[in-house]
Amino acid sequence: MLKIMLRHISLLTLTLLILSFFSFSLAYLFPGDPLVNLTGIRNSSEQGYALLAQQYAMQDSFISQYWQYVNHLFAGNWGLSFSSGLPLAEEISRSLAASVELSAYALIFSFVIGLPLGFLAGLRHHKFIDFSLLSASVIGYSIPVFWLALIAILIFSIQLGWFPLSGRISLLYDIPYQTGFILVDILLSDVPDKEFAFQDALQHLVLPSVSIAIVTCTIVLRITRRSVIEVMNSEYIQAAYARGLSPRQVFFAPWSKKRPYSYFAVIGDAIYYLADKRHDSGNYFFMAGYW
Amino acid sequence: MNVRRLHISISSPVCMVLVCILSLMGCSPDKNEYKHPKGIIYCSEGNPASFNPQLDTSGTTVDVSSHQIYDRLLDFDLVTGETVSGLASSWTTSEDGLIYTFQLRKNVEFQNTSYFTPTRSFDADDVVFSFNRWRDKNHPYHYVSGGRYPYINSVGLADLISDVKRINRYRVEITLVRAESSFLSNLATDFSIILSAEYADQLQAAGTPELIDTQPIGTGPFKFKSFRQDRYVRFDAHPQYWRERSSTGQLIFDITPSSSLRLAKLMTGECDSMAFPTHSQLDIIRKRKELILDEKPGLNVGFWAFNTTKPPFDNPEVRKALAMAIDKNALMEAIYFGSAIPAASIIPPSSWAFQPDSKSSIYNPLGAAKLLRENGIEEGFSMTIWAMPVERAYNPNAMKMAELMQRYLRDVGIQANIVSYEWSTFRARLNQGLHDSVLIGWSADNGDPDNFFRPLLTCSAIESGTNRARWCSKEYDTLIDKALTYTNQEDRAYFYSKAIELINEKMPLMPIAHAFRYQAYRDNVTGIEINPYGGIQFRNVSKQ
Repeated sequence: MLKIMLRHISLLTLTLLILSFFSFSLAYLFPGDPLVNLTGIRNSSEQGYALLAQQYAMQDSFISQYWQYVNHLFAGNWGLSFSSGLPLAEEISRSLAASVELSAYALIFSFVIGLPLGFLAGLRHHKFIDFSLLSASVIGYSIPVFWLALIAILIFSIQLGWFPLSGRISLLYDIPYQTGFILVDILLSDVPDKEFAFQDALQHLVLPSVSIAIVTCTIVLRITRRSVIEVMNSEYIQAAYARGLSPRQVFFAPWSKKRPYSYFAVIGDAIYYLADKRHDSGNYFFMAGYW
Repeated sequence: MNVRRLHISISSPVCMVLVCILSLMGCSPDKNEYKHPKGIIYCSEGNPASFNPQLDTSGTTVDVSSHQIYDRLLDFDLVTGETVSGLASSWTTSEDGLIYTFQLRKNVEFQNTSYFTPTRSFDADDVVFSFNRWRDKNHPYHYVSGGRYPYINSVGLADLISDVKRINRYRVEITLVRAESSFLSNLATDFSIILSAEYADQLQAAGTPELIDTQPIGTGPFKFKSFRQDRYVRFDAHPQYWRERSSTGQLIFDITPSSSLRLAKLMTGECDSMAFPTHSQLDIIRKRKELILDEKPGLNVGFWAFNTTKPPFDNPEVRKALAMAIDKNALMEAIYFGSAIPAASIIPPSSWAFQPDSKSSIYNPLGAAKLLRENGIEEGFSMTIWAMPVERAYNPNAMKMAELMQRYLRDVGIQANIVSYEWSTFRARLNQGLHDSVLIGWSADNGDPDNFFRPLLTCSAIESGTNRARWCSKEYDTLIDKALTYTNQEDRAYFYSKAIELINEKMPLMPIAHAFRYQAYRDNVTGIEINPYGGIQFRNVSKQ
């Protein structure tokens, strides 16, 4: 066990080392002044520039520059974002919170919808409803999320005007940044008409979380269906029916709880997918000023 | 059979979920059912460089600051273009036109914000401070935030004023070096704003004078609240504002650089008004019944300037012949999609110096070819047309325009090559005079016609880089200078008509078009007016 952990830790360190070295070299590989690329500080005064150059050991060798860079990274000083001019660490923490929030709602959505539908399909195995749900899930799984997001915006925001297309909440509400989770922040804030703000934020959440949830929903649906079919075909269920137990009794009996054989695996799968795909669609909504 | 009954027991959560989703959707269409906080959201096109228009002439900075945070001594009447009273309730001019005395309005309060609480109302000290900041190089605030005052320098206002003096608390006297009738107009531009001297003193005592331009204080209808780059600028209403106003809530600039996204937000109602709809979006806006599109002829001109220092373009006959070879009316449709009118001179029709009967050039390819041959330009002569790489109202697509003109010029036996560089390189090379001819234009900063004549064609404007024809005529300069010595519009108009005649005769540039300006907003918004003399104003904007 210890050996495995040690192996993983050393692998992680090595990966981070190579990665940081690569990201440091990017400052030289990108066009422009390496110091500006590293810090993100443009148009600094002469003294300011000299001070920065000293801090980043620009006059020393490449290796000591790299060492300074790593020190800055560990100190949490990640430089400024070129696109917003704000500290990168703050930018990342803000957008990370938004991502986590969106993914959480998408996950909830997909379980709330995917689980019952998966049961339905599994219990009606090889019936019409099973086939239609299965084909729907294949379609849902194959749709690129960014495209779905675009279509959703086009239909539900621009054509029908049901949902807003950008932002996390109407700009008319000035919700102070606390946790980064908009719904929590609203509850913590002291804005008047909290319930309207909450409702507005929910409306902003619907389109992006649904369009991401559609894919994770199909994953949940199919895994649930498979496990239900497996359990329903197992001998002890057959035996239970043979003893004359009602479907309700079978379904809610403690030993039939064995069935969620790997919900952790499902959740893991879905989270992995969200982390991966949210990036796609999140980017899209982000381009649309969404998140 | 068993399984079917089981289905019933689990179908209830499915129903519940569906009901939940539907109810969530159902609550959204009636936006009016619940009330948002009061406020106007304007989708703007970019980040302001600062919140002080003295420092920056870009429209983005002006829109966000000039008429929201600040006031000026004088303002333009949006309809007539005349200067009307602002913070100065009245003013007098001495006989010789050198001394202007301004009577200031009383009980005008500065904004009270989280970072500044004023202890006194607006008075002469604020005027003296605001003027001396850009005028006096030894002023402690002159070099704060860079010390560049582009508009004020471009019209030479700092050199024109010899003294700004406080007479008493509500009276200020400004002495000029020479009489100049465009002086009052310059005081009414977006750039002649009044800052708070008390706030400046406080910042200086705290050792943070640069905050004056990023955490602004003024007397305007809105007070600054917060700014997040690429996201928003927030303002609250200034409750003690001295003028009548209809906007009482917040004002928010939703920074949205993509014009299609601005339009989408306008359609969904996330914005109440949007900046700069593109020409291709105009029809979409006109077709939506909940959107309103206002248009007004703008104070601008797009033109084709010849480099008059380079032979054979130093010959007026050649320039006239080239102008005759181009069909302006065809350009109107192809380039401006009908959102501009052909220009007969550099002065747009909305200016009082406009001459309705002036004739610039008439499309006549045969005459053009003949005139060219007479002046020694043979078939196959080659020249360059420089096309600016950016989109401007006065020329939304210079590249395409250059291509069309290439064809017209081929008809008269001229081989035109199109040249374009990245925008800053383009301007740098133009300043060196490397071009044969260039497609470019001008947007005025104030309602005064001098703002067209002087920067575009006077000798001194070659140096400052706005005279793209590099044309220098003593006769023309005299006319333009003389016009400024008269205060009466009719007298001035006489000199300007002479100047227009001279331009038509010498043709240093061919005026092409005056583009319309557009403002798009939702139908529940009232009070948005296009300001031909500068930035947008939200004082009288309200929403039902």
